[in-house]
Amino acid sequence: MTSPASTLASTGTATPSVLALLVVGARAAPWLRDCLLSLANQSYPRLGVLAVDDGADEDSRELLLRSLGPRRVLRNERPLGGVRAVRAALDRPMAKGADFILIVEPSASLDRDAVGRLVEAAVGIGVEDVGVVGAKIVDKDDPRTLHDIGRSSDRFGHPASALQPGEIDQGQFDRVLEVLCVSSAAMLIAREAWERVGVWDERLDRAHADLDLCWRIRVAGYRVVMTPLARVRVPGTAAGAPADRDGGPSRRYEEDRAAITAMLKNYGLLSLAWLVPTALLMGVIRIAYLSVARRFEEALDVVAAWWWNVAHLPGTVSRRRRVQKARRVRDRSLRRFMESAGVRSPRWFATAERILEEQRAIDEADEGEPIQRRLRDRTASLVGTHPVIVGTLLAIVVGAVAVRELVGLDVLAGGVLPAFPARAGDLIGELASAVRSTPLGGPLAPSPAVGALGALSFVAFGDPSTVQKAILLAGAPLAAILMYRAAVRLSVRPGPAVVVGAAYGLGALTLWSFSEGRIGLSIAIAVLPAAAERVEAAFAREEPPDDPQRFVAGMAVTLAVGVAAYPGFVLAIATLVMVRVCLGPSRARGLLLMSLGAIGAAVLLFPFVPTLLTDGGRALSSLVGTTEPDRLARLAIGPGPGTWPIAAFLPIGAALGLGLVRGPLRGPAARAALAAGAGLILSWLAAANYLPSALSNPPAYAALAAVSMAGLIGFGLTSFTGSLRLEAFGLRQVAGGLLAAVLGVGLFLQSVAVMAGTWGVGTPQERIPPAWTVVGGAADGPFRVLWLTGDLGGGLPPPAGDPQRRLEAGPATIRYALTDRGGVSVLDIGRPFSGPGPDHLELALREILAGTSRHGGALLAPFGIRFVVAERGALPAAAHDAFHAQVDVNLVPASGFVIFRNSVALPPAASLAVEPADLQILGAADPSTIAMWRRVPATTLERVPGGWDGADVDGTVFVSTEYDAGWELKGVGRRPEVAFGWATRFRAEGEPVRIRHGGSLPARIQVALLTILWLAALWATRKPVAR
Amino acid sequence: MSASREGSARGQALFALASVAFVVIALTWLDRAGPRAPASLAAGEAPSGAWICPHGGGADLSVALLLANPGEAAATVRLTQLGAEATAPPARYDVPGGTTLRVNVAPGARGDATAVEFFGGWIGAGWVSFTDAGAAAEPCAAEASQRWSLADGSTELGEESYVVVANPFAGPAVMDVVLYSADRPPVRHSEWTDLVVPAGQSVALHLNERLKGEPVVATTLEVSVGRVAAASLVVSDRTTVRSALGWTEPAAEAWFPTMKGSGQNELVLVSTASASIRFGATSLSEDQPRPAGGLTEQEHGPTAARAYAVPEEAGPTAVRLFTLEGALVSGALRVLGPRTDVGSTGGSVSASEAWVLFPASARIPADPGALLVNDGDVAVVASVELLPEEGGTPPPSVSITVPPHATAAVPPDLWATAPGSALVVRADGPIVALSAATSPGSRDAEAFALSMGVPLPLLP
Repeated sequence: MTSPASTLASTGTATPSVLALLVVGARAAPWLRDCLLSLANQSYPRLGVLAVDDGADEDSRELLLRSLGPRRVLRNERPLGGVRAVRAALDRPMAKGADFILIVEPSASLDRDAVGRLVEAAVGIGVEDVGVVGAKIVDKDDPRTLHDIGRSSDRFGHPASALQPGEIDQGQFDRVLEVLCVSSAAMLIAREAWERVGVWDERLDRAHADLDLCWRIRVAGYRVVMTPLARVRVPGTAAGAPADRDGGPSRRYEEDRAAITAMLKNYGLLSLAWLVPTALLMGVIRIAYLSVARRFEEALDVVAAWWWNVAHLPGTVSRRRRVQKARRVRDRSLRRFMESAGVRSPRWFATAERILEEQRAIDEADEGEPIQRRLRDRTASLVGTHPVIVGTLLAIVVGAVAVRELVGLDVLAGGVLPAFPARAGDLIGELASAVRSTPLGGPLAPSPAVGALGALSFVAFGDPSTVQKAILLAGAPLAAILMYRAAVRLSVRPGPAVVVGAAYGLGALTLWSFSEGRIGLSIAIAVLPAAAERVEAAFAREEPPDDPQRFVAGMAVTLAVGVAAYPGFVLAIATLVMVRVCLGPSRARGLLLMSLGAIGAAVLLFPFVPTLLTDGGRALSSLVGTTEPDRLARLAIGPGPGTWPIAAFLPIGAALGLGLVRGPLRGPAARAALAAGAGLILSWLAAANYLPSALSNPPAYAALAAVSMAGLIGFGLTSFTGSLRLEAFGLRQVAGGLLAAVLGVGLFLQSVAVMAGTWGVGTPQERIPPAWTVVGGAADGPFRVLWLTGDLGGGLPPPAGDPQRRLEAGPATIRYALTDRGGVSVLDIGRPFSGPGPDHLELALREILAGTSRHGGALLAPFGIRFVVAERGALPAAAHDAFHAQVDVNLVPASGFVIFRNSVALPPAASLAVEPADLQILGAADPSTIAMWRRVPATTLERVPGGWDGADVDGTVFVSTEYDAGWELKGVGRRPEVAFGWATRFRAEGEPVRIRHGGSLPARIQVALLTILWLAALWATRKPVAR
Repeated sequence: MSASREGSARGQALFALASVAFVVIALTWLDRAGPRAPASLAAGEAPSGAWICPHGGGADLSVALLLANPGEAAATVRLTQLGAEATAPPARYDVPGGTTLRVNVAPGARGDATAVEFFGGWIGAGWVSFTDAGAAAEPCAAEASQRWSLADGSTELGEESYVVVANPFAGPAVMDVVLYSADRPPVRHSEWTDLVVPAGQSVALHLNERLKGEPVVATTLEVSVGRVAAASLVVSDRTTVRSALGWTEPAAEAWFPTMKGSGQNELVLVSTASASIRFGATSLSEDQPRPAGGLTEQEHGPTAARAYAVPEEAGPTAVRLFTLEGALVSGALRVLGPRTDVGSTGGSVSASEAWVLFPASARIPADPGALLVNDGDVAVVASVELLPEEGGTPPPSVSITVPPHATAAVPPDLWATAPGSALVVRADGPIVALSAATSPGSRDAEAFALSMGVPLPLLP
């Protein structure tokens, strides 16, 4: 390969000829005159100028003709675009004769010696094989501001610059630099180079095609250098990253498109073998991140960029052939011009650098001072100036230590953590099914949250257990982050907002919810701050910051997410709204916005709304709570790390914060105080069974109190720190100091508790009581478990989940739940235990607890209940005696549990060998007849997706699921009959058993509609593209 | 700080204090009020229950089950025979309201028993077992239990004592058997430790195999797994028989009614306490109460079973047993009949306002009788009605006044009209009721049996 220098030497040309090529488009007019003048004033002797009129306006055309003459102005009848115009110009004889082509942007003004310096760098400084030379690009109005000094890229073709935004030229780059690419504001290209590799890829946006060109030139063995001696001035927007054009493709899209194209063309095959999969993976991660952040347009840009490359792959391949044919160097020789990490993090490094600078400055100022003073000053500065970073780092440390034992586990169990199905498809299948697959069946639709979990499971490589763990571990941090953001929106300063987020995330309620694996409640706790902030904004004196449609859409999505995960969420929101109706400034507007938001949420949850309303709103209720005032005041609904008396830091801090608030924050603080008080009182009333079922959800009200208390802390801290320097020392300062001390000690000790505590969830071996093996391990075949506990106090032992219903029976009052042998399922998230089946179960329990019947086993048999389980000491003596008195239920020895085994249990689905007397009982609905049920030979049916299968049967097939005419014995098309007044049976006559439900089409249509609605809602609430 | 700012700051602080105070006061007040008391549960609509009848059996023993339905509606009964092998399919019967059903069973083995399940209404159950020369009668056990005390046993020459243990449930029962006598230490045999009674089976423990020649052998069962029902069965000279249902818990007080006997009674007590206990007995009759058998502050040795003679008149009497210092004992009353047959009863540890009495004889002719015991301080008026066998016509009910601390017999002509019927007694105060009967046996023998009543639930 001959270098430009040697070529010139061989031809005996001491002064190479340079042809400056200027493509003038529609927007060049403001700067064209200066550009032409600068070219005219160049000191370089052998410089020619050729301009291309590529759609220039009249004035520009006129100027070109006057300045250069008609022979040096090429006019394109129609605009070809920058690249095509250059290519067309290079085909002219005068271009073919030039030793160098100097591409000049019409907005660029070259210093007088710029061309000479560029040529000098190409041939005159002893550097061989220079293919491209670039200039130092500075700002036209402020020449001290650097715009470009050459660029590199990451391994995936994304340009990267060493310059910081607005960096001042202090001579730090005043040396000839060998770079990956230079700006085409003034780019000198050797003829050999452009003849070998061609010019820009005309498919790419001109602003992003520079990197591809220079890269190709590099691959062809030429160097790309930047000489600081050649200085070019351009206006701010014309240099570096171009701005997005309104209505056109976004900058991100163009950059990604160009990067992928460049990567595919310019890398060797071996490099592509690992780079392409890595780039794909990183693209997926970026799409996921942008989607989660609701930056949907940017996510679509990434997808579109990849799609463009797929669609234009043949063109890319053909261009690649030329590049590889011209290749003279290996890829690894170019690595030194590329950034090592594919993840661009200049902003983080810039921030880190800034922090180090600050710390150094403080250290210098404190030189000679004692170490404690220096540490104090440095810490105060760090915390005061960068509270979010400090808070994040501390949270990462605390969180990592806290969950160290949970992260590596394959399976989590314990608390009330619901079991996830083994396959992601089962989650979607539940949503698309017309009947419930969990105990006792029925038509109640599941929560859309099940569908979201299914979608997430597919993303997680089809592993629902990964999603289970991810949601559980993300709950508390997400709550803290969203509380921080809500606080900032409510005019709390960043520093206090960080404290607010930490207080909320380390509060007893959040920690209890995490410890017990309360996935639905954890999501609600995380979403509540955002919802509360929106409620406050809706009723605020000023209009909400977003336009009304976006605000309503955002409110609808927030409400829908919260209600889908935890229906009791609506009670907290309703209380907030009531408080604002009493105390808010703009009641009418607020009510209107909230109503529209609620309607929107109902639309987004439309299949789930009947489930929420069924049985008097049972779905909204919860049967866990506490009536102990001291525990309730610190929001310690249940046990767990961080629920100890230290958790009282939150209510104490809230009270102090309320006393410190002043100015415009008084109104929000008063409302927060009212909401906190209402939350505590309502939580107590709900736990004490004074409220109707639909209004009875102690944890929801406690969450309301928690978010309000955290808000009060933020308001108080903001007011206090804002006036700290304005007032003399007094009681207010004492109160502020006390608040700081309470929060400091509280957060510190809560962090210690979190890091040292033992969570309610963990490995199954450690969290599931050993006595469970009596039930789960020893018994074979499918069966159901009836879990019992007393009226007040804790919940049920794992894996039962929370109590589903409560039966008042005087001293024998119980709360209970019915599960399969695997325990509570996530398929029932937000879904109540309601319907004819549960009602009949309650009837059976009434007979047992009233002491009227002593054949409880027979009464429970239709429900597939083989075991009745209670934690030892939790069951009231009256209830224990009632069960013990049953003649067909036997106490099984077990430590830790009280376990009764039903001796006449039926499998949840089986073919039965029955006699006429048994058939009579099977067809009866009254308990007095059902009590006569006796043990019959049964062959269990196998549970399959959508139904049950079994061998040939000539007799009765029984399924412990609510009767629904849609069930069918496939093959013979036999319709079902009612069994035991609520369940399902079939008469079989020798055919194989295949039971399926034929009514899933409406459910599938609903799923499709729901998907469309949610996509539309998320699009409506997307974050605007950062342009 | 300006005055206005200072004022507003004070106001804010006061507002905060007031808010906190309000919440604290509210929560305190609510805590004092306490959670809402749960409503009680009304009676259900599916009455059902079960009795366990450890009547025993054998080639020499016939057994009749007596099922009484004091309600108005018919009830369904399911009888399951229990023995040493797996249970046979149950038999089903309907018992019309206000009637008594007699079901003859043919238990082939000494340890046989019957489980009686009833549906749709309350049924009382008892049994009568008889040999050629003797009879035994007892109510069935209403509950299975993990603890049984059976005081009446004798392994003297000519007497074969058994404890019939029935396990009608679906799981096995595991128990320890301990025998007590007057002077020997308690007997625990390895084969009767962790003894398993399989599910749905009934066994007879032959006490003579473990402890011979004792006039009193009492048995306790401690069931560690499952539940059982137990009764004693004593066959004397292979001709006469007596039976007594065991006690599930020792008590400090009990009543042992008796009638139609010869007046030669023995109060059999067993104490498992490690120290001596003291007890007394009072005789209740149609006359004034008086000490029974001279038993006042009588000492009873530790871990011992003894019989104490309490001679009474032949008429309707009751022995009230009471212990001192809250000591607990289990007991039974042996009553010699008019001839050689001995009857026994486990008595009752509690009184009730309503009872069902079963005939204590399965033969015809028979001379049945019933007595009521009122140990209260006020007189009690009781109405007695007959539950005839199906097809029979019940005579008018009779009213009986039982003076305080006294007994009263049911007019004999009431039962004589339908000796196979059960009696329902409803009183306006707590009483204890027992039935007794004599009937001719073979070779001039006269069978004699006593049977305690069963308390009638208030809402059958």
